[in-house]
Amino acid sequence: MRCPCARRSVAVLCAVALWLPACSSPAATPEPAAAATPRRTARGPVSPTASLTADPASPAAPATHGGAAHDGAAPASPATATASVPPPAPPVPFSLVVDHIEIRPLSNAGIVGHAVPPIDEQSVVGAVEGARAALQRYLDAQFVDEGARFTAAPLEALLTPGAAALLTEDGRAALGQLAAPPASADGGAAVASAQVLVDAATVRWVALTYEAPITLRTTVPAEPAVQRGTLVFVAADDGWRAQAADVTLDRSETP
Amino acid sequence: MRRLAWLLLLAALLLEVPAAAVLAASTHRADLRPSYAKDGLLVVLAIGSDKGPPHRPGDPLRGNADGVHLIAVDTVAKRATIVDFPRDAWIGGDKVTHYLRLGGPEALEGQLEAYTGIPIDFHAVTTFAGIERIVDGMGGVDVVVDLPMSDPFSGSSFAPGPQRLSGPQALAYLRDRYSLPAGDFDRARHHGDMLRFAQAQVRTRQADLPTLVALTALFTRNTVTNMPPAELLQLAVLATQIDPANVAQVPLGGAVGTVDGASVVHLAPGDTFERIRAGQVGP
Repeated sequence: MRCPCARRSVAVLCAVALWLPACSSPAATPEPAAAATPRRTARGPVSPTASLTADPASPAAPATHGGAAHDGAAPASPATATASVPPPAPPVPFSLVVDHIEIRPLSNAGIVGHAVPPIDEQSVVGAVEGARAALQRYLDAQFVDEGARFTAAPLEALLTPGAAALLTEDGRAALGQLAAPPASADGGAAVASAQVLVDAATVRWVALTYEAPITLRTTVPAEPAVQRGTLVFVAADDGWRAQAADVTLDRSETP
Repeated sequence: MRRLAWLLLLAALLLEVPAAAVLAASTHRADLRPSYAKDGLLVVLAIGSDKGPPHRPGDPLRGNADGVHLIAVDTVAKRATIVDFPRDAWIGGDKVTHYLRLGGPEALEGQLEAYTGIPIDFHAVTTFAGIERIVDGMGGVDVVVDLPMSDPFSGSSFAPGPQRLSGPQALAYLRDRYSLPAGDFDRARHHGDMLRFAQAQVRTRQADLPTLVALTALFTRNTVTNMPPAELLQLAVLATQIDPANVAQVPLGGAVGTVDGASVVHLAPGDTFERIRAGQVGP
């Protein structure tokens, strides 16, 4: 019995191959994978003092990858349409932006009648950036980086030993260790909000609640998926690690 | 040529339909919440001080303990017993309420350990304002008022039945003893009731991780505790893992008497402390 995915893939590939010559504008030929990926354009309210931008080392939102026809950012080069299937594009890493920070003071000075110590905002911003960078490293390693993607290594680097000890098979799948991994995946524009639990200058926890769109390249068109949830980061010897997690991976299709 | 392409596209779409029909959406979930892990019993002393700004300026750690409760938790079986002490309980040659004023939470802890034989792991002290802020921070607490309450001193005015109390209402509910038939015995029991109601609410409605994080901060901000900061989140997780049906409440009773003209309670705890020492907690 043939796999229905294969049948579907062949059918769609044939259609695309035959349809391409009929199109006059290359800008009107979005890559099927990205075209199926919902692009997040709306953002929550951004506090000027609290917002963080993505790590400069990380690419911004994949403006020219997929969906280019929709946002008008298509490259100017007039690519000639051909009947051949283009080589697969290199995987696109995630961009991750923290668009809201909520500071939750821990000092109990108020109830004992002492002056509440001021919050060190630089510590807050630094901690949020540390947690954000840890989440982005995990997302890229878990879903994008060839060699590490869909394996146990990235998620185990993300979690504290206590959290990792609670992993189940379903939990591993939610975090991207997939039993039947796709060939590759693209990251999307991920957005997080942060709760920072801070006692004066000491940040105890950073909880990131996030949503990360993913394009799994198993089939044509590619499969859109979303990982969302909350990770509670604590400072560890080797950086920020998630002490607790409640994360889901929603896949639109399961072969 | 273009017509042929469209026909083939249509055929492809027709083939796509049955393919899509056998594909289903799926959701995987990682719910990783390490809980406070301790072999044996975890015992927390919860103290309500009658001092603390703005209601009663002063150091809450040198006030009278109007609320004294031992919370014993089996961290493995996820069961708990809450023991409510009346403030006038005569323990170690003084009223239990006085030990906070005399020597802080450590002195009260020491006296209770000596009296009950139960080692206490942590204490947490809060104040009138702390209670108001914690309850308001939780969005109110759903309680079941068991007795009609109307007391101008505390501000209580409640008909029996289920209701959601705001912070100030919760404080009135917890302070009222004059309109209750058993006076301070009923008040101490109401304190234990409130602990149970709050735990049940967090477990059933507020156990999602972002809310739990926020509640951890709320608790920390409004108590004085010797719980290790690094373990507070695990302790909060533990609280959500206990089925309210597995929480027993033991309001201690006893004989009312006088010592040097002061009204005191000679406790009759029965086997309460022996059971806890043996690890038998919960209903």
